[in-house]
Amino acid sequence: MKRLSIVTPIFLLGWLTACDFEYHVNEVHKSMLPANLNGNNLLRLQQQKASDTLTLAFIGDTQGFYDDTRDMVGHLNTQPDLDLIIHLGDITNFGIQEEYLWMNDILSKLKAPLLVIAGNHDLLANGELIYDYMYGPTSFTFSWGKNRFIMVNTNSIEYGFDGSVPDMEWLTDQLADTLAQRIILCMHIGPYDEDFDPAMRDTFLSVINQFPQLAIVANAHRHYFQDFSSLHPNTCFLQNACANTREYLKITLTGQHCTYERVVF
Amino acid sequence: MNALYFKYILIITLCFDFNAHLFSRDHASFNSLVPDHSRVQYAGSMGMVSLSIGYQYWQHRLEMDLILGYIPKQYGFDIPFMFTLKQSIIPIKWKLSNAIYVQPLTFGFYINRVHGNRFYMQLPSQYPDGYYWWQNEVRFHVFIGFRLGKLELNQAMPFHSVEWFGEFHTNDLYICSSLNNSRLGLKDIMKFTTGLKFNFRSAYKPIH
Repeated sequence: MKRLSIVTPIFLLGWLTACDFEYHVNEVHKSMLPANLNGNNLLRLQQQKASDTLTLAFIGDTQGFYDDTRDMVGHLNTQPDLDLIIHLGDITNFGIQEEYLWMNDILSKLKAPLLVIAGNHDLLANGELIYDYMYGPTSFTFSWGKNRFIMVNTNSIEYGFDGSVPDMEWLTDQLADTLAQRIILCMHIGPYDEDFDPAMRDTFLSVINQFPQLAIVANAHRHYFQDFSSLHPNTCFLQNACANTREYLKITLTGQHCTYERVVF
Repeated sequence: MNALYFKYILIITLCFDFNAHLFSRDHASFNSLVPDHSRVQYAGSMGMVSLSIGYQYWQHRLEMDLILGYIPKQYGFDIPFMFTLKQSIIPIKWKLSNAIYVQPLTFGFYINRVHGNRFYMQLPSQYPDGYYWWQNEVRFHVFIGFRLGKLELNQAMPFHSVEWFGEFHTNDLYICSSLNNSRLGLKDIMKFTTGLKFNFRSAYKPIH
């Protein structure tokens, strides 16, 4: 018995090396976090040549659905022709570091490049600080071939509906300032969602409708699929479901013509 | 867990400790508010480093610690201090030699509170009621641990023994995260903390 009492702490000592130290649940502990994941994946993407046909997958709201997300990653890795996977936000429930790390552990197994947008949950507490370090700015834009991608932060509810988000001046500039033939606009909370800033809804819709190159608009947040394309002719305007519904969106854009498939896994 | 649960746990804990303080202090304290022990601790989700004063009850089977933690602002805290109330249960003590003893099992819980712009107890008004079911100011932790102690033979020191302790701990949000899936297990949600505890000369001696 006495020998056990010596052995037990030593055994636990061995196990402790597998456990981390934590200063607080809401800590932003940069030495434990990967940095600039969106930037790194963009570099990977831009090393590939963009063809006329763009094949995208949209995933979103993987928050807390670790088993489903793991299955989804496995299924996405069987798709041979994906150019890019875009996560439309809410990779965590509570915006805490440990969740970011757990989810990244699963998502990092994806073979195709992945870009992650911040959802409202991801910005809670110190979440925006973590997102900013781990992924990059919450609104960003890039070109790939004749495609222009614009990812805009629409989580107005996390900013007290103060009018700063979405940044309409920035968004209008990005939409206008491009020679790209096709624009792909992604956000977490869509303009038809009741959590979208009601004071900015009409402006947002009228701005995006001015640009005929707008080929795809995608949002998430509601955890179920919805197709808004009938409200926007010549655009695929889609709301993504969550990982728990066990489906994701696969979109093919050839020229200006867009088709989509709700892939069940 | 919403704020109301924590308030109930806090009130029940404080009542329990107050009762213990009045009726279960074994030594004749000239001042029963003099702490029985003090801790210095690394990590534990109560700061990067923390200091505590504590009281011992029922022949040192129950401990209460009032802990002040410090976390540098770079880790995301505009107000770098936080407060924690801890309850520890120590059911077993073994003497290994004249000077060394071990408490192979300790367990308990603690309630930690932070302050800052990004933390709140009640949902701010821009959210509909119940939009988020948890709050982010107060966290509830449970732990299990062990201690190795040494009697301090030098009578000039203000403490009669010093203990090294290690604890594995997790919190309400991690437990919730692990419940509905097979991906997250104990190894994912447990963290480790360690520190030293100094038992003052006025406190109950851990071994005779």
